[in-house]
Amino acid sequence: MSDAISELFARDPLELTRENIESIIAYYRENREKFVSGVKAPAATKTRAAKPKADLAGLSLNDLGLGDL
Amino acid sequence: MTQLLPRTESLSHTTAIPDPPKPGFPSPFLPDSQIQYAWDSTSLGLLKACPRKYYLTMIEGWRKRDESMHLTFGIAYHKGLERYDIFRTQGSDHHEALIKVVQQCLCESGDRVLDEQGVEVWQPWETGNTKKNRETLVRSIIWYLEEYKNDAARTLVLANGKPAVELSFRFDTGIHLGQGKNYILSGHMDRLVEFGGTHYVMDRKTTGSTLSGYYFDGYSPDNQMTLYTLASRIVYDMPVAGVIIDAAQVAVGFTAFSRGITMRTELQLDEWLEGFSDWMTTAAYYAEVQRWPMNEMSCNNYGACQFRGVCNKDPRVRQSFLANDFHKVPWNPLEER
Repeated sequence: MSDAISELFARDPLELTRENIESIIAYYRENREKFVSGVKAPAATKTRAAKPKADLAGLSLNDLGLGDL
Repeated sequence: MTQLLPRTESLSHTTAIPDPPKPGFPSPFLPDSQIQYAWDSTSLGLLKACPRKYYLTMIEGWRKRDESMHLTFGIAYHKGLERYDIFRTQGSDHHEALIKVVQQCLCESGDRVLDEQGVEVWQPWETGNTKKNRETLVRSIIWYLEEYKNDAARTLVLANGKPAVELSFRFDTGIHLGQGKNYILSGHMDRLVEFGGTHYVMDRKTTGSTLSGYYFDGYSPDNQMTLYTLASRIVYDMPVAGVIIDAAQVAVGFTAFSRGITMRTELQLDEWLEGFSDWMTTAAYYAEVQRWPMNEMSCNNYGACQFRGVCNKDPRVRQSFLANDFHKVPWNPLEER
């Protein structure tokens, strides 16, 4: 939800003007159109710890336990 | 039948009498008894699923704490859509009706409370649930009304000239209970509509499930849908063929909609009422002996019964588990919304 809409939701509804309500409706209309046309809402970004990459170039068959092949 | 234990020593002997109803509404129970004379699809469904579940919900009045949130969401969603139907029948255009509905929904999804200084402040509804909260409620109402803006289903007009929305019904089944009383069936229907030349009840549902054919198959047979069809024929004298189910899948980031129809024939309705009579005989027996047995075959249905964590404990400690995880919110089929 955008900050502007969050702010409207937090406000006392008796203080909301017609324009405020129309903004909420317009926001959800746009939101729905995006959903219907297949545009997904951005998901929360997850940060993952980078996996240490193996130095494959430096490995020999002995390192892999395949030295007798 | 062999009685293994004398009744007074039975582990499942119950003595609770339902709490008095909210002021202004009659009790659905006969005075000082466990005999319910006014039934709706919720209480009947509980009895059919498991007599113990029925007893804990209807007679002792327990409800899981977070279940109230789902109920509040469902009622607010229905109320919003019903109001829209009324505004439209009163002449408002789509946009105007939508503005009024959203405004009322925002006003009713919160409370006015006193802060530390004794000043009245607005406190919006906080559920702590990512799927069912104030924002998804408003979103679901707006999206539904946009989805069905040009709906082919038209609200019927009752014989008294009023639009057939927000329909609370109550009718005498003619099935004797004794003491000169008959059983009553009651409930609330969203709307009666004409769709493709046929009359239907329209029922709106919210769910977390995906809306597939499997979802809609679950409504045939179905206690609630059969009762609604029966009630609209008896109470409103409408030749209703069945129920249109407008289902909404409420998810964190979207609300998806799908429509299904479930039909009922005259004979199916008669058969259901005959079954109701048999269930009443069973309920009267349980009330008389004051024992409501568990139906263990129901414990794992629909993602497990809310009372499973109580019923799986030793009988001596169950009340403590109930008091901890549940609160008392009695369900009254005679309460009008």
